[in-house]
Amino acid sequence: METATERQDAKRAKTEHQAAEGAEPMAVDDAVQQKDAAPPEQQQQTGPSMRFLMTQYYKKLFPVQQMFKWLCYGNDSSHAAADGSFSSRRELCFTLEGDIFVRYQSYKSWTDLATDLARKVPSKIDIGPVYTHDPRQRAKYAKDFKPVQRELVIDIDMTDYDELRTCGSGGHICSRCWPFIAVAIQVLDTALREDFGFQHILWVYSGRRGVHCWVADEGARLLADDVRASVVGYLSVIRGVEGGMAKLGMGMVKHPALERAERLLRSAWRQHLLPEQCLLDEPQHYNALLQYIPDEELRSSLAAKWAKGGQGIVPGGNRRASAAAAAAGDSVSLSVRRWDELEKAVKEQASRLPSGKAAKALEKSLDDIIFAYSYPRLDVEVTKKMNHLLKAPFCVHPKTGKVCVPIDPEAAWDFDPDDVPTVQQLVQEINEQQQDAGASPQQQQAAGAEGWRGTSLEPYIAAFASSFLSPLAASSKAALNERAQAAAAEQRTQRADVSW
Amino acid sequence: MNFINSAPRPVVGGTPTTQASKGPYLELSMYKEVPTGEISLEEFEEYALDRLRVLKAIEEAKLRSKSEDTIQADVETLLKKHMQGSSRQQTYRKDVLSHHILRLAYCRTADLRSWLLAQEALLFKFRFKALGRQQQVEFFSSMGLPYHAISDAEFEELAGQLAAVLNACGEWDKAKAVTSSSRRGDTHGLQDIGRAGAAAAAAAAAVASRPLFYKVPFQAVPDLVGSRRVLLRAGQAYVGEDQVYSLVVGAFRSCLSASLAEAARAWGAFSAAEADRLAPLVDSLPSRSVYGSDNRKVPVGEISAGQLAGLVAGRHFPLCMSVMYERLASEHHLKHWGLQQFSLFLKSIGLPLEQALLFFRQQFAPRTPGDKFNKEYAYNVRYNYGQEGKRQDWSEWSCVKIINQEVGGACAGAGECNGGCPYKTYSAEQLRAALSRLNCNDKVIREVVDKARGKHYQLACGLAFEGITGSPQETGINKPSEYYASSIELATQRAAAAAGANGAGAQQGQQQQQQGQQAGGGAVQPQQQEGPPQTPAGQRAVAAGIPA
Repeated sequence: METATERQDAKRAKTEHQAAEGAEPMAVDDAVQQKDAAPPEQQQQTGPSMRFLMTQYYKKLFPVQQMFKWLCYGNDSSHAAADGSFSSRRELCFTLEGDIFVRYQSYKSWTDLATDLARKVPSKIDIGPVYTHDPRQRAKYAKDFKPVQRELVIDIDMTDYDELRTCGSGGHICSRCWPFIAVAIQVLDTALREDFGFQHILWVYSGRRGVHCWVADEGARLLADDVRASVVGYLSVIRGVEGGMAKLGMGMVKHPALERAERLLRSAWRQHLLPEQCLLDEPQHYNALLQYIPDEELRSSLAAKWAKGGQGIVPGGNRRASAAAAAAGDSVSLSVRRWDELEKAVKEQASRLPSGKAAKALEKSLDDIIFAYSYPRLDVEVTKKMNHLLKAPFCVHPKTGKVCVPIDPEAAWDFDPDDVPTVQQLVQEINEQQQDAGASPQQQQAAGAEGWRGTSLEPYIAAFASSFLSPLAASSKAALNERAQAAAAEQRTQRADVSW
Repeated sequence: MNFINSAPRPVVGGTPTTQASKGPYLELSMYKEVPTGEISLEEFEEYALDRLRVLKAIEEAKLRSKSEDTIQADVETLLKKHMQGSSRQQTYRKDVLSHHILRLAYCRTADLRSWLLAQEALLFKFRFKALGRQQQVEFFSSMGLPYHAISDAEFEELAGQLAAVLNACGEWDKAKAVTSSSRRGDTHGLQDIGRAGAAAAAAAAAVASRPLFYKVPFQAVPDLVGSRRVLLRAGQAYVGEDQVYSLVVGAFRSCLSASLAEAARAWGAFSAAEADRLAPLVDSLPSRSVYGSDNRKVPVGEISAGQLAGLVAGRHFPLCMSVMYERLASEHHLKHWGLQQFSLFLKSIGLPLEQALLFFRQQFAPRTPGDKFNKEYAYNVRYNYGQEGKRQDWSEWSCVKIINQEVGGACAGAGECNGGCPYKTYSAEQLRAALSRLNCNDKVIREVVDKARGKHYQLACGLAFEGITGSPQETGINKPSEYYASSIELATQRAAAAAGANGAGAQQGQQQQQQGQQAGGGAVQPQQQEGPPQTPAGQRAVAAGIPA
């Protein structure tokens, strides 16, 4: 009896074991097949397919040479101190159709990259770090394979402003919520240059609902993870949102960096954010803002006044009318007027308070509002780690078709995310150019190398080259010269040692 | 612009030590030189465990978010208690040796290295801060770091902003000192203090009693930058004299980090040569419980986080819980249901909320940093203790609930533990392996597997109790805590019997023995009180960790 049950046991155990083993690879296969099967359905849309457009984009429009030159930092030159392996140690990650991630791609030359792009037609390219070794051979180096440098990057996502903005949410972005981004660029760009001393800073529009910043100074690229985290700490003020209110990490007296930020925020606040976002036009918006005022009485009296009076001041005091009034410049917008009222009321109330401390706290609430509403909100995790992937500039955003183009931080206010060229538009422009020129197939091929010339992408690439690439090239060359000199000096001392 | 490139992290030249007058334990070392000389194996082990006690206590204090001042005081007491030798020289020797032993023990994996680096840097910071101002400045200048104090001219130019930073940090007095000396400083003119003159500058400024500021690349003081406690200009941070600890600790960190990496490379050759002698000892250090020898007695019904390891090693947890404990220790994570099941069990055996939070935070630690833990998991633990949500005092999951828990075979697989009853989820193979790890009697294992096959999971668990402890479990197991209670009761009885064995009170012991023999399992084995094979000190610690 016993032996029989034991045998049965063993048999059952064996079959279960097999089943468990067999099940896993099958599940994996299924998943892959599903992924493969999914995209064609999505791609069945009107007009030329995304795949066709992207093929054209990589062939004729994507500035592959400029991008590659950037990521080499002079190591592609014939300079004596140039590191020939540099570019092949940089990770690029492709997202292929159907959200298939192909990580650890690397290239020796821009032509290799161009060929592979034409072949794989990734819907998205991410830039990773430079590793100790070629990432394609990472298995060989196992533990010794680790990231050694990477640009300091910052990501600002419009969705972090959802509880503030009055024009939309989620993937939405428009010229009315752009001021949040523009002021963020201004504040961060100033801090990165003045406080951290960085010079090679590239701002790009992500193509959908945010902006990215790439700091390419050698010092920035070499920052260790804990220092990256400290940069984030220095740059961030908003420590989270609780009950609809931002928690601010700043005291009664401000650090000089925040005082400077405040000056920028204040002017943006009255000139752009209040009038364009109409933050004080409607009850749900001004009530949210009034939360920051610690004085209950003041809050309710203002809310009551605005509830009654709002409509009277600007007929049909809705956003559009108010924005139109502001745009016309002939009258101050409703929100700005209300803000002035609020400021005056707070100051009056503060002067009536017996204790200086309470008065200061009340007045600080005005600063708090401005910081909570307009201080840059960073997606901090992106910045903290050297090996975080971030979408490459001049990629096409797969959802919007918009190209990820550079933004001039000086002119951030004039940037309109709706004016950004899309892949559809660009491909059409090329086709029209070719038709106009009546070019033969041979000529088309020749033009293919820099087909973006004459399209609406050209000014962006030109700006990228002139204000980012060429100063960077000068710095890279200087760094290489320095390295060569240091190496020579080292050799001299070694020789001296030997002779001695 | 090359200031950023030139000195990312300073490399330290000398090996400064200070002769502190406050007490011998304050003598501070950068541990640059590897000690030579002889040390007995006992001392080797004792030194290492004593230092671990200090480091773990600091970690615990930090995880409990105690204030800096409290920890500062704690560290002083801890050092006095564990690290003080009979003479200043002895103390110094113990400090240096124990540091180097732990370097060896914690160099092998990245996790261990980063743990030791973090704790040693903390310890170093608190010890440095305990030095007097003069000693701090001396130590700092003796390190030969390439930083120099700013000139009077630069001080004049920046005084306003330097004061603003101090005000923003709430350092009103220091801010005042800066503003007042800047006004007076007009007469000083444009005296520039030379590059090499850092030490001279210190002396000069001490005379002029103007607050000193050092100009350093911001990379050297990430903690000060991250909390906006310094003025930053063009990549340079202006570090006040009472902030130099950050520079010193930074230098210490990078130095230790490099040494640990070096030790990791050298470890292979070392461990082969020492395979029979030091290697096993060094290997076991990181997983040793350091709480035991404190002999912390917790009244029945309340246990502390520090005791859990001992309880698991003493095989007092039912299989479902010991599996979870091990999984947590190796993966530093439990899935939601696993965490629920385990945390409610710990609650039921008397782990208070505060200790539970401490324990889970520690266990989740390298993978889930403290603040992430607080955000994502602490709520669940507090919820279980009736501190969140509907504030119900939840009781432990019964075996039935655990058995019926849909775990997707997670505990059985390689993933992270989602709880469940291993007698149900494990294959016969896994069950056999798991039980023999708990030193369960072989014959009993067969019976257990049989019962489990027959879907009598609770009976299987009761049988396993017998196989593991040598005594039958007669009351039945309906909740994991019942297993635990029976096991503790048995151990207590045995301990009492052993204590009375040489006296007349052997009656109970005899009963015990009879019980053991009746059980039909193996006879009561002498080592059954103790955990799985461990070093002698570990066994002692475990035995003492059982609540009497």
